[in-house]
Amino acid sequence: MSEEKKPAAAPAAKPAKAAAPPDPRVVAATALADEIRASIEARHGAGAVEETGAAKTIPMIRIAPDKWRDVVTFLRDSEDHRYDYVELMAGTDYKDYIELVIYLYSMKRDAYITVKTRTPRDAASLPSLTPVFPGVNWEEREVYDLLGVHFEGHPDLRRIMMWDEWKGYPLRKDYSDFDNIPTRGGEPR
Amino acid sequence: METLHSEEMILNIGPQHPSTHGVFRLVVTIDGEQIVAADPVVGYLHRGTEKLAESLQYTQIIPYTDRLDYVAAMLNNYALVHTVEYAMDLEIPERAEYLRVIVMELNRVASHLLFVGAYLLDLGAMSPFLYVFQEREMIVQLFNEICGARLTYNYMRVGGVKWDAPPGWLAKVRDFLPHMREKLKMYDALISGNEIFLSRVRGMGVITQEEAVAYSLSGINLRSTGLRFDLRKKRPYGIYDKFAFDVVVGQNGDCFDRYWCHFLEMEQSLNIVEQALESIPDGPVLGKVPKLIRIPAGEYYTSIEGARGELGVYIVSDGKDKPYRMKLRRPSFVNLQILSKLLIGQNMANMIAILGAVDIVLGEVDA
Amino acid sequence: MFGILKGLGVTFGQLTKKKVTLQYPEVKPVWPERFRGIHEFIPELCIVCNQCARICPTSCISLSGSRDANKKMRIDTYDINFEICILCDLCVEVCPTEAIRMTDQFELAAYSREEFYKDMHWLYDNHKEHGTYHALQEAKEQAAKEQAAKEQAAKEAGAKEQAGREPVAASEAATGGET
Repeated sequence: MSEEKKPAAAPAAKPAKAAAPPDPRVVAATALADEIRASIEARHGAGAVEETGAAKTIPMIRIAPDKWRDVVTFLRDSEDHRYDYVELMAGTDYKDYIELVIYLYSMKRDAYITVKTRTPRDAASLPSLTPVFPGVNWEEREVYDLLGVHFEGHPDLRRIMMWDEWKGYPLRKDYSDFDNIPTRGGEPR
Repeated sequence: METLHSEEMILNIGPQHPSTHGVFRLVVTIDGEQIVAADPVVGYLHRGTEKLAESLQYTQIIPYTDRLDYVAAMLNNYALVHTVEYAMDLEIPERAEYLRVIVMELNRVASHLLFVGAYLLDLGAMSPFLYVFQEREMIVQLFNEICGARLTYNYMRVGGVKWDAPPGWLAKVRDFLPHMREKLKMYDALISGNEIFLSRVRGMGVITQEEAVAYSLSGINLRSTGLRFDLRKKRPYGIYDKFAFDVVVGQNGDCFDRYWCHFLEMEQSLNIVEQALESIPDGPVLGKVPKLIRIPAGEYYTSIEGARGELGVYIVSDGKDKPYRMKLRRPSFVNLQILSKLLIGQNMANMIAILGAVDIVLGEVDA
Repeated sequence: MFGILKGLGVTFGQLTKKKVTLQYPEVKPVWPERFRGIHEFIPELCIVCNQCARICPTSCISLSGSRDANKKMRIDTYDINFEICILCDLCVEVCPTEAIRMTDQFELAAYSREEFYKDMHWLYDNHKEHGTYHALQEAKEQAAKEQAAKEQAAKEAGAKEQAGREPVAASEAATGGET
């Protein structure tokens, strides 16, 4: 497991206290994540996985953004994994980068993993997963709408919650309410 | 016979339409009576719950979750407090767990009853809607007695529940169960055999297993295709591993199966309530919880089997008393995506039948 | 065809059933004890600890207080904005002195938005009209009477010790006067 170095403001991926003995569930999850890492790297090269760890008790793998769609497709299709069901897709603004996380479930093996990737905040862009999982279509639109991540190859990338004239991305940490003051006749209402 | 093509027309349904169950807009392109394309437009009820949560303490978020899926608010309450408890590794008093299960399963019954009534109303049958409200009213009154509200319960707390059951409440629930079972038989006689209803829903809006998994469907939409996927069994949270109940599955994945699964699931929920009432222990209802709830830094996701599917809460914490980011996995929002696929090639008259069976609550879709 | 007839049988069976509709404006619903209606506020109990304003998820409570001659905090203003109040009960839950509570009053329709800003006096009137005012008054009177009876009994006892007489008649009179 590679321990990441994040800025102090951003939450650490895993509460690993030096004094307390490591939680056996976390150790097991991390071991599983490393196994999957080896399997991914055998297929997609050494740079495909940037980090492994555990999100509480679930194995976590962070993937290089340019390999995002390939690796997720591999996880879905490969006989060893078969992670074929997306439970959750969420984006988080970490002040320095935007992190996209999906929770994958394998119907066949009854196992869960967390797969993540990162993209810079300005010109945030990632390959879309909609061709792989049609069920993330709206989730990606929501991430685009509220966090401003552009998804390459998405069939229908429009705002979903806000209307098209909305300025800014509400879930970003530097979003200001004053960008969208309602006006009447050119004057703020 | 060769199909006659005419000029395509765009028809706008909603946002204010009685059959869209809230403010939901559907832009359909029709060729004669056939639907060529459908584009659901959501967001009319978007309140930014996830953004609001970032400036609220965990206890303060609970009332906001009531407003998501407002017909099954107990389950929403639980989804949030469950994630917080999972993150903090909290011990919950046993009586609180039992009370939670009782109110959650009763809420599931109330929600499914409303589905049955509203779905039949969509299909043009007026009276089942009025009938189911009688039983729903009884459940809502029970909730009113235990937590003081009929719809926005705000009942769960991190570490337990707000109030113990008032004196005589558990006996009232016990009396309600046989009554409800009786009524379910009555509804069955009223609706399930009706030939008009059957011919409108049988074989309509079929979802295959592969589609259901690819579209991340959950809840009854997934189970109606025959997949035995119920989080209460797959990943038992709380004390659900103590109860014996069946996971209801369909066979064909059509609208009738979805309706029928709702029906059968109510019976299973009543069974769970009955078992919980038999073995509910005495004791405190709120565990030892710090006054200011802080989650250790990290990210946490847990999900429960909501009334409409997998209801999950994802929390990123930076160790403060407020979440750094909270994401709600709303089953209605995810399930609704398949609608544009299901509608293609259907007749216009089947549109409402298919939309109704997907079972959405717009408060949850828009969050 | 059989299914429809079966359904119709159920429908006709309903004809003899009791009506369940409540004739609302004429007949008011009876709410359970825990019902969360519009707040009541009892100024003399408030210690201006600000906890209700802090816990409120929508920040609809604003209050101010000052120290009186005895260095005790007294409430000066207490406003709830019912435009945004969601009646979640959290303020009642944190109040250490039960100065704010919830009544079974639920009718809040008004013609203008300004009317939804309810101040301390309105909330106190609500307390008198729909709240626990009478119950509190009765409890207070009861306590006062008990206190008086006790004092009376103590006095009688004192007198008895002096005069050697039975205090029974006096205490009976005290309890009998309560109703």
